[in-house]
Amino acid sequence: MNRVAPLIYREIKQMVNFKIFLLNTLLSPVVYLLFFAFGIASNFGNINYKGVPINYVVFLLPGLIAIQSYNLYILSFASVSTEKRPGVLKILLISKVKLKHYIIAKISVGALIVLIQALLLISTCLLITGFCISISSLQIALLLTSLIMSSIAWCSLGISLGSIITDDELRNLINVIIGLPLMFSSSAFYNLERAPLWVKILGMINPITYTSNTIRDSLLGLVDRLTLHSFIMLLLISITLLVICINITKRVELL
Amino acid sequence: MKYAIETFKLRKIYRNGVEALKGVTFKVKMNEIIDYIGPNGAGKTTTINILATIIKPTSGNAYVLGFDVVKEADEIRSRIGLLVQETILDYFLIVYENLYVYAWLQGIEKSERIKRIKELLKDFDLYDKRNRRWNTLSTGEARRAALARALIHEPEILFIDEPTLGLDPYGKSITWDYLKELRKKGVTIFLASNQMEEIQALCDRVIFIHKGEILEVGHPEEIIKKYAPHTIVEINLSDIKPYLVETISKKISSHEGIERVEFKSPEKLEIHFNENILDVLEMLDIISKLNMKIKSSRIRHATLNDAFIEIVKRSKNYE
Repeated sequence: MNRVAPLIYREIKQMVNFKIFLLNTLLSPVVYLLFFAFGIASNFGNINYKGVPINYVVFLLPGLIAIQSYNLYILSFASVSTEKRPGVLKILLISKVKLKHYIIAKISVGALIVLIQALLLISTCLLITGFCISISSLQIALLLTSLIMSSIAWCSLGISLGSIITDDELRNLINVIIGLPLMFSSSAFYNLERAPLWVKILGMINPITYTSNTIRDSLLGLVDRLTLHSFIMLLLISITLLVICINITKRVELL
Repeated sequence: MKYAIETFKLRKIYRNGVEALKGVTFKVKMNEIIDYIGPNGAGKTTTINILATIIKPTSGNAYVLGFDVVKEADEIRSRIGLLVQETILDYFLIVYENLYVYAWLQGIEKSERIKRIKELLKDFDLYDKRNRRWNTLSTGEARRAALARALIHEPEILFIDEPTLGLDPYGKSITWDYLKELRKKGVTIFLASNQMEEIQALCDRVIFIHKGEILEVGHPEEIIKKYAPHTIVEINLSDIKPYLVETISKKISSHEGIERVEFKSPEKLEIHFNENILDVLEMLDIISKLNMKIKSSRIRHATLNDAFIEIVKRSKNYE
């Protein structure tokens, strides 16, 4: 673990020094919530979820948090790809850094970013809607665990792809092809139960769906068997992507 | 005798089928400054990557400070410094933080870290730039900062790919002085430089590699004597008559003591003398008689560059 601390320091310092990125990371989701969520809510009012009518802003909040964790995939993909290409990884590796240290540091800082974003989003939502959360310690644990698992899943995917693909154009192409369908075929923005069958099917193989559902159920106090199902699915996806990430990074030359 | 680096029949075949090293064997003594020279794609970076334990050889063995590069990579990593060709510092870290992170990774205590960083920044004339980000530094400053980072843990062997690439004369001078100082302190330095001036100023020996094979190993002066023992007269011509080029070459080549005659460009003629250069005036006379004007001429001794070209030409892989 003594190698992970300097790597975490390195990641955090890079982020803090890159002011525009920091500002964008912290403000964008809040702006999204304030403008998009309130705009939609004022047009359509409440949304029905698990038989309970819920204000759309409150409904969207978990979805936005889940999308922030998805953004870690884009961030880690770009970061690993740009660190591999010019030789930064070479230097790290001969500084006695093991790949596991590198992966742990990326995931830890990623999870930290998502936790801060989630905190900001929840606080903004509470302040503006006056929505009252009565949350038990079990729900908090479920919320935090799902955020961490989701961060592991997306960071692992980003690191895996970043260690193979160093071409910027190809990276952007993959992000465009994957990004929008993933976000809009999940339960982040709407209730998947009422969606067409093909969207439902896509949503069922989408980690954003399971992250959104687990966070939503924890925040709204609607934890049931389906929540457990989402949680287990998220856990399986995270473990699978992490194992894939470890195997890919081990096999890639020059990493 | 303990060697700093030993390689035995080292081979590397990449997944795309490219055979970068074809059984490379060489030894580097402790406290030596050695240059690993070769054209682009010769296998220099692959060798450094194997010795720095970044990639594994396909076959053969390599030892750094007696440790096996495959089985004892961790032992090697704590004892070596590496400066890659691309001069990459962490983009969003300031110079000070770049050094701080790598000192921390090497396990240097906090108080020692701060002291060491200050010393290195002063040695490389970067103290005033310590709060600047990599992209705001000049090429030379970034290169010096990367070298300072490679030295943060006081390595026993330093691998440097093109140490003064992009540096101005001042930057080169600081770097060379520092490398000489390091050698005095017992550090072995393994350079991969193609800059002849640098090699002749710094290196005890050179290893020539071409297409993955070692062609020659030796002291720079010995190699020059062996492969390019000649004196060279460079003549710049004007009013060139292309049909006379062959005539000039033949006439001059037929003289005793001439190693070879080469037109480096249509207007630049090089005459390589084997022995004395007493016939220079005669050569100039031949050229004048062919009604070609001589703009300028100069006599120089052969350099490592000439020897390098000769070694490559004589190799079986020369195309």
